[in-house]
Amino acid sequence: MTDLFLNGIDADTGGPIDGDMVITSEMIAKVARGETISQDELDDARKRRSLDKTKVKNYGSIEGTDDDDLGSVGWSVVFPASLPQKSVDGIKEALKPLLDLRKEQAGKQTEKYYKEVIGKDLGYQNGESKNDFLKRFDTGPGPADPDFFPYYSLIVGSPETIPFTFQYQLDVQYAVGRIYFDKLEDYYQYASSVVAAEQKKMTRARKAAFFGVANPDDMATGMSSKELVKPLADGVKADYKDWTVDLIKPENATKANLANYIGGAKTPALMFSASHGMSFKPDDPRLLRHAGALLTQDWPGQKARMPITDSLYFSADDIASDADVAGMVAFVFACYGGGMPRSDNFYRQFFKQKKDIAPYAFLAQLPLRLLSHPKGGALGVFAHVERAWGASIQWDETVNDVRTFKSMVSALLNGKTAGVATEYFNSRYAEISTMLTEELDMTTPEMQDDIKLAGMWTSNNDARNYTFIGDPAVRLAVADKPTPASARTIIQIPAAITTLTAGFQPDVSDRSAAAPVKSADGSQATNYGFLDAFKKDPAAPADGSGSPGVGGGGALKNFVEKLGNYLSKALDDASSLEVTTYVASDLASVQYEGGKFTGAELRALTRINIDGDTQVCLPEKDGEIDMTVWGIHLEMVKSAQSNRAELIKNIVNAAASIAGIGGK
Amino acid sequence: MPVFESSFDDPLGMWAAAPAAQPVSFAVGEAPAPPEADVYRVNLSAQPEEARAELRQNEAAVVAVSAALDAIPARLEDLSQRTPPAGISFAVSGGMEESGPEGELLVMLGETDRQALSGGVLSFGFGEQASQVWAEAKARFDGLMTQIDHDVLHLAWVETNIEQHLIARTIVNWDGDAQTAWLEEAGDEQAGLHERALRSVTQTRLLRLRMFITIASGAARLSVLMAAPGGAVLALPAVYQYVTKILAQAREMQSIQTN
Repeated sequence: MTDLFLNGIDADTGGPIDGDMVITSEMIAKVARGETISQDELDDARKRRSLDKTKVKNYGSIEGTDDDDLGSVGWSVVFPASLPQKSVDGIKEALKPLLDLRKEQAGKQTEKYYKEVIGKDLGYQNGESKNDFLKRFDTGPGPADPDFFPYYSLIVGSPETIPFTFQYQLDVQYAVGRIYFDKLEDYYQYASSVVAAEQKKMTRARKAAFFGVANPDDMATGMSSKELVKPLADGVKADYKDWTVDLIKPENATKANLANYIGGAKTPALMFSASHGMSFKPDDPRLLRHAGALLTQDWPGQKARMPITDSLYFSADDIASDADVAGMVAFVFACYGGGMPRSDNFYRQFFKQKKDIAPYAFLAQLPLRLLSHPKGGALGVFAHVERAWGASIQWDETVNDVRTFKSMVSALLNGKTAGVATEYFNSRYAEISTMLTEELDMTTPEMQDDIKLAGMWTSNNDARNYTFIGDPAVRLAVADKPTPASARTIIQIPAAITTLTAGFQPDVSDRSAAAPVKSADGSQATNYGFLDAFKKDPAAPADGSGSPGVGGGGALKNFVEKLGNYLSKALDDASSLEVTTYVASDLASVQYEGGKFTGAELRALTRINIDGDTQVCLPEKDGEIDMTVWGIHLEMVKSAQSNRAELIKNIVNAAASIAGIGGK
Repeated sequence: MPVFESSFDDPLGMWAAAPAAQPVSFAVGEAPAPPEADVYRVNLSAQPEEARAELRQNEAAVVAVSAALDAIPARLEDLSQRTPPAGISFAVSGGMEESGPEGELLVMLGETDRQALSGGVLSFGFGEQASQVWAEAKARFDGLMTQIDHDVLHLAWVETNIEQHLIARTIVNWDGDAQTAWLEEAGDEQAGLHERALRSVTQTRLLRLRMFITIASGAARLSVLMAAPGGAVLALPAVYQYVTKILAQAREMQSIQTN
């Protein structure tokens, strides 16, 4: 039996996502045996596999077409059918620069190669499988035929209205990406950034950076740093002499340095990072904002078992308001780097019951912030939805297997589209899926090797869950003479775009809080600027009547919501009170490590539970209770109890006031 | 050296921010605070009576600020009752009979409302100075939100020094779970001083929360006086300015009384 590595860390415990339960090969093998890959999925995988075996150049589209040419294979945009017309109009208006460009590229020779899959009848119907969806366009499994449905598809919608599973399945044979922003301005920013890049109005230098974290005593990042990041960087260095390659070794893979490479002075055209991704409990107020954030070298490792705060990870909040990310493409190898499904796939299959890990499926904020940056957005982010497993890198636990990553990176550096670059992961998925099913079909459980089966299962899931956030038709925008930041066109948002804001996509009732923004110098930048504050509240009647309330300003509303969550959590956490007393002869040598003092002697501890149960460890000296220390400790306990009572009183009052604010 | 110093700029003004060049938490030879912790340091006199008096001064300030915060909602309620609704934007130069902080509050709200209705041009009618006041107040309110966010999520690292000699250090989270490392030779008297210092820290954190709630609910209450949509958000800097003025007055009054 072997423990498996996955790239995710729980913020509360500083330990693995699954707490003290170690996921073993035996457990996964059980899941694999019980797994029912649907017939549709299996058919797709097999078809894809057979195509991969027979074709040389093309991957996803029919013979005789060129996947890299939109005029040859087509492009579509897919909205959820449930989106109200007003919202459809708003988003289409915001995406107009991109839609116009794609229409010109894909539809100039054959009009139908550009397709808008939008509206009640044509849009994606919630719950629809990939095959049911394609059936409406008179096509089915197999290579993409643009006469029926284009090869490139940009999904515009949350994973609640257009599920991740649909994206995965369509992506097996098609080139699929997704965007979903909270604000129309963000759609416009992204669309304009892509157009600027493709029209060569915004180009970056030929530079790639490979950022490899290896936290102390941590097998997962140790492996990704050594077996993935370094070989990739070395390979690019050797094969692409006209590219500058930065390899950021673990000792330099800090949060501060990551900021240099994502938005700072060292930002490359292609950024590849491998690290743990942050995981939070479903009720943690940080979940929607920080899930999938990149845990950097600053984290002392799992042995510390300390709660993880935002000083140890890089999230959307760390993208400065003046960051330079325009035109970059990133690959984020980390659990939940691309987003999170509502329920945990592994648990569902192992325990045969659903375990919700989020209030709803969502895209991670870090990629979204990069794509919609007000100074020009990144073109796209490859990232993982769900857990990222070590199986991405090691095959059969012995063979280092980074060819898929290398191929993908090479495709990008060679100027291929993001959609074409992801085909290597799709091939891998198809191949492993077929192998897994064959292994299960052709052997009996007694004959099966748990480790092999577990490896296949995790590899299969892992390869499937890579997604592209952004338009799959984008490609790196590089030039010998890159556009200097000062010469880039600042994207001006047309007034028409700002008439709708949060709430215009009524698919998730409790939307994620927008990330606070920092300026490049690290100080907190304006959450709602003077001019922003003067923007009219879209929810307010046009005549200015009614009660606007605090909710009109996104930042304050978000903060009040967040505060409510904090207070609620504080009440939950107030179920016990713990007071600890240490003594040292020299306080200068006392350290605070892993959530406790070291270099001092623990002399007394009191833990009081809400039900009255109290645990006390008494200080002893020469076989008797040390009354001096005990007296001091008791006073501290009394003080803590009094403080706790005041805290609860204040929380209750604050909660009432917050409700009042919300109700105004 | 200030008696009560912290590693950040306390929005309540009760703890002095340590100069950036001399961070309080990283003195040579001492254990560093975790990077995510807020550091509070209390520097007391070696004379017990003097040390107790220094703590009393801070405790009295806590009481005064708390009482002032208690009184503000009623003052704002009264103000909104006696001010004609949606009329303040046209009453910048005349018609305002309020004086003192309430008068200044109405003027600032009126200017904000007027500018919002006229399309949000940055320049205020009565000059750049008012615009600057608004911007500064807004920035400080942002700072308050940031600090509360930090208070809730991070640890407080509380040190008590007597004549620059560290006697105790406590790590306390938002819920009050506390770990204290005492100097072996610390006695009851010194323990009492540190306990009071710790209490000042936890109370200051709660006061900041109350200050935010008071401002936010006050802005929501006064938004009915404004004609511009989004009035509560627009009102925040003005109400922040008002609340800080009241609290400063309360601290000043308390300081005079204790001295």
